[in-house]
Amino acid sequence: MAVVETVDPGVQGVREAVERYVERYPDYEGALRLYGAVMELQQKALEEVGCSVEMDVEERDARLGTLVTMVDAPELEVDPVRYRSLVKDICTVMEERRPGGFEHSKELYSWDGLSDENLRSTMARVLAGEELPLTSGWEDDSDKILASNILWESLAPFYRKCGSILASGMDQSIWQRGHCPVCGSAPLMGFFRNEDGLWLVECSLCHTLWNLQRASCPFCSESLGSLEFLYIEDEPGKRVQYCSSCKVYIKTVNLRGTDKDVLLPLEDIVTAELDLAASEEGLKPAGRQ
Amino acid sequence: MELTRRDFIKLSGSGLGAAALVNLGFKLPARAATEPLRIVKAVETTGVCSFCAVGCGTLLASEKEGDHLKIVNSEGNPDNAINFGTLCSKGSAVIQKSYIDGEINPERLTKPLYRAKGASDWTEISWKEAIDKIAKLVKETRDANWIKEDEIIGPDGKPTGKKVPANRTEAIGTLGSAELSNEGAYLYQKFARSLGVVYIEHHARL
Repeated sequence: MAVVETVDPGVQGVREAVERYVERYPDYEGALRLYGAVMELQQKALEEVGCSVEMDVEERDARLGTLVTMVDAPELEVDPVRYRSLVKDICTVMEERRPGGFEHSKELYSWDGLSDENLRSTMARVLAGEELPLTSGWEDDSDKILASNILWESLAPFYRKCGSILASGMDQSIWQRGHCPVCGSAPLMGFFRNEDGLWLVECSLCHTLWNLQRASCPFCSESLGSLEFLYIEDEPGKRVQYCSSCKVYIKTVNLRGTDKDVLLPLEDIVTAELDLAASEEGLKPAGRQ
Repeated sequence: MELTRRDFIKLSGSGLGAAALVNLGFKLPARAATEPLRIVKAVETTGVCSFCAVGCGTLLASEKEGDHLKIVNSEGNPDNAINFGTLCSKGSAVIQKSYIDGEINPERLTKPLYRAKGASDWTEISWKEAIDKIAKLVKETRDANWIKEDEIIGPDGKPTGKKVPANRTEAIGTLGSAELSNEGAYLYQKFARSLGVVYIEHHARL
């Protein structure tokens, strides 16, 4: 039975990782420091939020056995006061660290869609990737997408808390699917584990790690023998694992036999070239079918 | 549209992480912005180590080289319930059956070889020729050494003159493979017994 526990980096861990990444990838410094600041806020929030879902191991395994995730994502109870506070803090990071700032910052964190009454429907929109009903002054689509992303990142600690409790001790062989066993979101990125090469991917919302089969596509029925990979010539340790049938990919770092430590959300930034390469090959990232 | 952290970068919705960095206001790294990416494509295939009876699972990575695939890496398969990603030192070097230091292993046989009686050298022959030769030699050996009946020995240790059918040959032996599945091994011994072969062995040992 393979058990994989997700370890949260903590505020200090994020800070140290950002410094390591900036030293190694100075070209990405601005983006790394911006996301590092967001991650610090998420790690702080994680210490304060709770998980409203209670589930024993038998019930959890029964759900997973019938292909049902542990949490019904839009139904999760989120503390609206703590949530709004986190939205405001992330907006402040955007104002301070994004080149050109974020002119809609105040409008977003004081938006009526975040009120106690409207929060659940806003959450559902954000999780489903639907456009937010932001109207006057929000003509620029890119600002709307940034707003959605801020709301998404502000939800992350609430789901992460549930993942840290509910997924503990989970037998990885039960799931091995293309979406998260805790919240059902798409994988952000993955790595091959140092000691045995096990392919672990991290959820883009709750950051739970789970295991996928190395030579099978987790997204489609044409899985056996369809999984291929590509890499950029001078960096063979980082690859795009993709299915030649459904064309969906997951970026993956090969840590096998190395003593490297990665923080996947930061790794996602510094491997932007892989997204370019994948796009050139007509591939789609997981979660964007 | 499902939002992920990648989208956090990707404000344009163009599907490009690097382009999104630009949209957030950050500069693209020079190489990604200006140079064509040198992309290498490969495939990973599951296999079974060919050395011993344990049958450890392997993953072989191959890259296209001309019109064929070239194996560039071998490692233990972490999803295999026999070895969970590990390989012994011999299994770790299984790639050397095909390639040594990136070059094709000159010792690897890729075609049948035949050494004629009295000859000192091997010559390449076709698979058809090889199979025909093997079949002919098996048939000749079997026919020349066929034991149709055995005589029954009495309690006093002397032949009784009575015969029982034997239908076997003791001039041929077989050596099966540790990499065969139970079903494959069953078929293999069934084939050997159908020829009347009684010396049926296996190399299932470390």
